[in-house]
Amino acid sequence: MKGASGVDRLGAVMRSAGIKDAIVANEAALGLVARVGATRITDALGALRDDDHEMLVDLFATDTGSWLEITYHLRRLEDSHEVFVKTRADHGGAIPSACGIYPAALLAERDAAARLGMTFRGQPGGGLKAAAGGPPLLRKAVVIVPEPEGAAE
Amino acid sequence: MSTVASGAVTIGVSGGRAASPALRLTLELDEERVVSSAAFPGDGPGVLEKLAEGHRYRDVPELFGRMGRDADVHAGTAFSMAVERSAAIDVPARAHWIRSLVLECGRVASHLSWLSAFAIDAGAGTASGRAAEIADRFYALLEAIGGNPGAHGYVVPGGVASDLPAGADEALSAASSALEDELPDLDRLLRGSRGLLARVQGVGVIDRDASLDCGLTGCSLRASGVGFDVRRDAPYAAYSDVEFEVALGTVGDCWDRYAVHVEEVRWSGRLIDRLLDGLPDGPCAAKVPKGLRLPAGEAYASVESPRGELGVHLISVGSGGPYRLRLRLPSYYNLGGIPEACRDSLFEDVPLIVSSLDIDVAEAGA
Repeated sequence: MKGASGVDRLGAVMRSAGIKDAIVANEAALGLVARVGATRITDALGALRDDDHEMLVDLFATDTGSWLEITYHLRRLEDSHEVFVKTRADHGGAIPSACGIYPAALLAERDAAARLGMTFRGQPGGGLKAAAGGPPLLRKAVVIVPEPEGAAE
Repeated sequence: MSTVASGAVTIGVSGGRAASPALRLTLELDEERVVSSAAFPGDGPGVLEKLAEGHRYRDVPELFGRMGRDADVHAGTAFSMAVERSAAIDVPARAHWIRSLVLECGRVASHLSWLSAFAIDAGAGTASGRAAEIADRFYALLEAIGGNPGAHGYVVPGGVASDLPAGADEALSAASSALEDELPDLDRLLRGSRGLLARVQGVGVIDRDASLDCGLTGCSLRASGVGFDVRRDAPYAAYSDVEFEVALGTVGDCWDRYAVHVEEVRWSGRLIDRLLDGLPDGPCAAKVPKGLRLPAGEAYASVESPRGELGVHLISVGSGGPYRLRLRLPSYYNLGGIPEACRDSLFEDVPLIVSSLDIDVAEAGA
């Protein structure tokens, strides 16, 4: 599933989940990417899990300045096929948790929530806890200012 | 092991190379049996990711020294590959082969360093000392090649910072030959250790499906029977040009995690020999502009680091440094295995179980 056929197949997987407005592309240095609305993100992830993408490689969020972009990196182990699924959230907004489909998302979701200032709805309790406290460090508005030399002494 | 919370059922512990105040594990106990647990891993990769946003591409690998000597050169390689993919930089063949040599050297050192800590937790002190001794020899080789024990900053975008120093190939060859002789003895020493098998077999089991649900990669994933290894399944450096086997377990217990580590050390030694035999001549780096700017877009690259898949996801907006750098750190994800492996186990086995998962707090907390 590479090149155009990969785009076609990923588009078909999205349509099978009833997501007709997914934007699917093969991006030069990254590979196959599907962009879906936040309300359909678990449908998209569920459809890809059913398509044997059983491994969540990573989940992270990026502050674009105007919104937060959440990236899910999935892999099908049988042929090492990889797909990136992206969705958006407002600053301080909420999107559904992926833990019901990919339990491995738990710590990464908690980390993204703490670092970007957002919420993943419906997360299970317990298990692993991300760093807490302080401002959402990975927001672009949060700037690291080095301490003047000798200030710590 | 240290108690960090009072009360009848909640106890904080740490074990093996995960022993650090930065990692706390809270257990809910029913007498001596673990009912559930929660891990508190410290800061995670966020701080390092934030720091990277303020650096130029060529300076970013300098930050990876904060992850400890076992992740450093692997992170530098994944980052360099992401930059090379994004900028379409053609890396010379010799650089690919030298990268694989250095990475395998790092794997032997890291796995044996892990084995040393694991043997202590399993009560096999003699084997622990022997493993540490061999590990130190490979750290010394890394230092001779890369200038420091973690070969920090040796792999750079475009290739490697310098060619192999004079005599490095002979030293590597001698070390791998010695390893071939020493490893069976070390393995025998551990297998013959009184009570080791009883302590590790059937303990801390994570089955195949659970290993994926936990987000495991590396030896811990393969011990559960999932045959994914980035070197073979998404080859980089020179791994597509040399033959090797991927070690697999079946049960996913502490014993399988031990056996996979040992088998990987064996194969790393063989890989070092094969890489030395096939090492091509030529330049060891492509020319990369000092003020490198990447085109707007994204790239992902990963390596099979000693603890599992270490990935770098780079987002560029066309400037001279990352807009966003995401680190997929195996020790961070492998923390997910702790609650699963500890469930229903005996309290006394918890340090050994945590140790068996080969989690490095310096890496997880970055």
